[in-house]
Amino acid sequence: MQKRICIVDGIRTPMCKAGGSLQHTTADELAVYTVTHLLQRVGIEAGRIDEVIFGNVSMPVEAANISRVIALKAGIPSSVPGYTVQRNCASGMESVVAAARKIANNEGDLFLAGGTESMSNIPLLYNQRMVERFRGLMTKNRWKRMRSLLSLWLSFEQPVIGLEKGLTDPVSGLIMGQTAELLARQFQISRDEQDEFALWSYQKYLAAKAEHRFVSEVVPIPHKPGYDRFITEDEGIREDQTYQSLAHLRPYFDRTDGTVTVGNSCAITDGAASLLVTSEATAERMGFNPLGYLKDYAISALNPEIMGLGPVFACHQLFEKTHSTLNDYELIEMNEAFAAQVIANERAFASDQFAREHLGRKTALGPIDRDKLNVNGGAIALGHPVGMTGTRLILHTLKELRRRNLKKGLATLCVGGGQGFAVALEAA
Amino acid sequence: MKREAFTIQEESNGTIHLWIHTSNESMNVLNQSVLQELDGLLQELAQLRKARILFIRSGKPNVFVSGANIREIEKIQSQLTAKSLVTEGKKVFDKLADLPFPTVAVIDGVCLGGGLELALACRYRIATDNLKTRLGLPEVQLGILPGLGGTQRLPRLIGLQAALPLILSGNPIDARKALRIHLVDAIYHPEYLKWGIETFRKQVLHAPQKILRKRRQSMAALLLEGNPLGRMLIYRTAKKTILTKTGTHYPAPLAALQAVRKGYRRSLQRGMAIESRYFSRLAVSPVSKHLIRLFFTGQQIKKETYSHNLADVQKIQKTAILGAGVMGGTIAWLFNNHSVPVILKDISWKAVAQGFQSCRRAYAYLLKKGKLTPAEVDMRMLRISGQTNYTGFKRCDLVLEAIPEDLRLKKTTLQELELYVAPETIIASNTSALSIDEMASVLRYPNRFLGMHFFNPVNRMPLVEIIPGKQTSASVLASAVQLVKDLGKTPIVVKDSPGFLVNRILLPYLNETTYLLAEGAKAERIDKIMRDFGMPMGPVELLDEIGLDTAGKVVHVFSIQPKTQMESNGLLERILTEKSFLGRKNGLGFYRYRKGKKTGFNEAINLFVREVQYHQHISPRYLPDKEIRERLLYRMVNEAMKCMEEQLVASETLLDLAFIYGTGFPASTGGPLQYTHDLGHGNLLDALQRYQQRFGERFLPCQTLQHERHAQPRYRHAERDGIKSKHTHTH
Repeated sequence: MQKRICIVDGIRTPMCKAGGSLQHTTADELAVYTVTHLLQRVGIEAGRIDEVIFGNVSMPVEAANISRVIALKAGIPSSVPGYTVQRNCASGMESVVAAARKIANNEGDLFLAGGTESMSNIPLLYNQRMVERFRGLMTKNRWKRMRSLLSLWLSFEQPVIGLEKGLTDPVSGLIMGQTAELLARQFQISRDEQDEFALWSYQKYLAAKAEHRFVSEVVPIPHKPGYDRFITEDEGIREDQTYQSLAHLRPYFDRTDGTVTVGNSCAITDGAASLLVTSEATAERMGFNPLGYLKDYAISALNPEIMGLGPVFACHQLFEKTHSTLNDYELIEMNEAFAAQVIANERAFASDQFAREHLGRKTALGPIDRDKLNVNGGAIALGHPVGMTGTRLILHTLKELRRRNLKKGLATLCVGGGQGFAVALEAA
Repeated sequence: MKREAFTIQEESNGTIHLWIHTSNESMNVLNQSVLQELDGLLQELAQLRKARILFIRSGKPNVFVSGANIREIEKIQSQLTAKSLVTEGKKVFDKLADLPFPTVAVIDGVCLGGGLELALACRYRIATDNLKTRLGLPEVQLGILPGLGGTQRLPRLIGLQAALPLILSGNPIDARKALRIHLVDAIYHPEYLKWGIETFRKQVLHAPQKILRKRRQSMAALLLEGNPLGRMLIYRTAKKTILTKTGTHYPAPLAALQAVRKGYRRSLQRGMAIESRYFSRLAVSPVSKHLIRLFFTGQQIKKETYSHNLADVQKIQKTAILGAGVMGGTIAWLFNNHSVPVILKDISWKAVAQGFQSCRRAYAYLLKKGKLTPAEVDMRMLRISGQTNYTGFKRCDLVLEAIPEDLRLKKTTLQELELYVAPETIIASNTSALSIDEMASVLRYPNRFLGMHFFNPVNRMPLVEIIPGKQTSASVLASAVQLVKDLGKTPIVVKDSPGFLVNRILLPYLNETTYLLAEGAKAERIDKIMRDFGMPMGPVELLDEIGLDTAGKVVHVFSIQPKTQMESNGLLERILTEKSFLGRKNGLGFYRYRKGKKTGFNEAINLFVREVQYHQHISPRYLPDKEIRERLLYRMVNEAMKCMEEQLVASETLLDLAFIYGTGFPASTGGPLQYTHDLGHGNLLDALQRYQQRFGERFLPCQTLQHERHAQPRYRHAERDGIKSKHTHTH
């Protein structure tokens, strides 16, 4: 990018398992807490913001264009516009890149970008038959109305679970976990390997938490509806996860001969994160002490049935674009949608054959050094609020680079529907 | 005749517009000369051959007519003047009602008191849903009743059940409610008023029955009001409501009810005469004089800015509060409810959560009353942010500390705070007793510091004491005063002195309570006597409400200042050694509480009482009601006079208003100082000296009393001729 894109600071809410402590907080409210605190922390006038851009997947019906709702509820002047982006699991990364593009294009220089998701609040829907009966109630024909009423009375239809629909690829018809099963089979990843990876994620997360590594990125928020306490840290994470307890779980998506369980997949979680994005020149002028820089990004697409391989394709494209290699990056955050999916990516990264067949390269991208990968655990431990994770990966990578005094980081994730997203980051 | 307050504008189609624009600044106010002018005008209009319809309109924005001139009413000293004043006014309104063509009042703004009575004398009323449009009869709040036909025309127009709340509470209603109860015949958006008037004109001229049909009362209302038994029920319920709300201390609502009751079934003319009679009695009553005086004091406070230069006033847009206890939490609510963003900081998230809960509880009250929707509350709650450090303080215009009342703690906190805020940030302390100057001494910029003392419960108490220190800058004072006004509260500027004003006067009262208890008076009886006097709660209940530990702390602060030192019989101190007796907050004080409700006297207190009796050789005795009331009251008013001697506030009326707003002291008395005038300073002095001889120096009369032996009571005549003779007339 022509201009250096600067991430001034960022913050996220605690992440809580869906149906848990954050179930009464809506997606827009989650984001408002982060926006308010971010503005307080940076100490700028809210009216200085050029636009508010949030990523969100489920798009709550009561908050259409959720970014605008967030901006207004956070007390940002009504003169500041806002729009919402949706690129499924990468929505929270797309929003940051959208801000970066606008800055590069001289369409403003101070943006609030983030992601938010309340998976607790994804509604149940009526199925088509039920909807038709309701429609029958609204006709003028009295006889028809009566009949619809009666049929409604007599039938208790199974609702459509919005969450499940959202996590199902409508083209291939596969639910996300089934795409992970496909990858596991294709790359011959055993159940043991997956469970080990999952356990490792838990252990890294718990060790990091014990060292208070997340404190500077988390804002405590009140527990609704009673306001009886503040949620100060991530909740719903099993502190006593063991290999045995993981091994004990039954496969969830392929009950006959599957390997993907709820234990080695990411949890369904609520959360929001936001970043203040600006140009390097503006950051200098306004005297910010920035967190780091967004160097470049790449988006690629692939067959939705193997959407989990998105990172490999996106990273390949990013390396080409930035003339860099895997070894240049000192930390790698790859979203852990499924243990199988991360391991599949590791294999694809390391495989010359895969590189030749799919990436048009002679040699592999290179084996991923596990000491650099998801150093503080990932979504398997912490959860994956789909619209928010992209933002969290950028925020956490930059924070961790700074903490370790390192320079270059890579954040990447796979995207439902068959896409991959990768960003190159640099700590200030 | 020269036209000053009115302009007539005739249209070729026979429509006449009568524009009102009295000489007052932004309001239209009715006074004798305005009414005289109207009288002449109506005579002319009655002769106009081609007139087909008359619209009465205001020449000023956001007001129709805001009422009668209260100064004129305040001046009334005899029932005769009062009677002639309203009789003259009524004649004018009767003329308006008798015009041979339809008349329409066009209400686009404030329409209160005499203004609404003017509108009631018209055949039709239309209003706009302008946010400023308010219709009401607030007279009872000034101790009088609507004297220009309000108690007669209103019930006849909209029925008893709709009319009584308007007349008896004095609270105004908006245009939508007015349409619902058929007080107005139509409402329009202010922007479309021009066309609305045209539409309404056509309806009145071509199909008036359509409008009148809408006014018909519901079947249920007719059934109830159409028979004597139903009406009796209505009157009885109304009386009960008045008595539970205001007790027997305010004669006006009861008199207004009588006026309605006696006049309702009689001819309008008879009804009018009855109304005038009750009006003239109320108009000379001391209660009315007191209420009017307090009203004007309130107006004066609204205007007072404490600054010669409006540019001095800093607009407070961002705030923070230190300490998320009950006070901190509810002050945060107050800010938040008035759209002032606020950061609530305490040392732990647990403490911050408590503040959020206090705030949410205050909202629960508004939710229950239907003033806000749950979605609105959720949205507002988002604008309070919790913090456990000073993040975000740099951009705050004002930081208020509400941490525990400990001077050393406050000093270190203030010093720390100053490191995190901008040099121009105003810092305020919500202390109830500690010295402002003492706290200011540790600050680098003491000129930005002052006291802002809110009263508990913040959502219901209208008073805020503002205490500038010696170094507080004029602009800081003016900004704080403006903020308090923006928050819908009444700011009273008080000099820095122990306990400031309200607590200073309250403490001798509470102190005397402990003596009464030790001498054998029962807590329930003391409380009842003071409630009968008109206090919202008795002194023993008040001690529980404040919290015995807090009361103890205030006593301590007072005891180290020579000015406010007072002897103590040690009862409170002794009770405080028992750590679990803290008052209402932990369910056990002088009384026992269960789920916030008082369940009875805490018998364990008797142990301490007996102990004090034993050590001080007091033998319990029966105390007459009069002695209990006098000892409590006289110590209070004596202290109030001392405050005036020290010039803690600018005027006597300000002191009276502050004390009424801060404690619920009965407004009907006019306040503690007015009470001394009505009692007679001589009488007060005699009583105090008598008690001084019996009980010692705590009854030492203040300097003023000792110097002016022969002061005469004010309003003595008024009291004799006034409402006291009510009963002889009602039979």
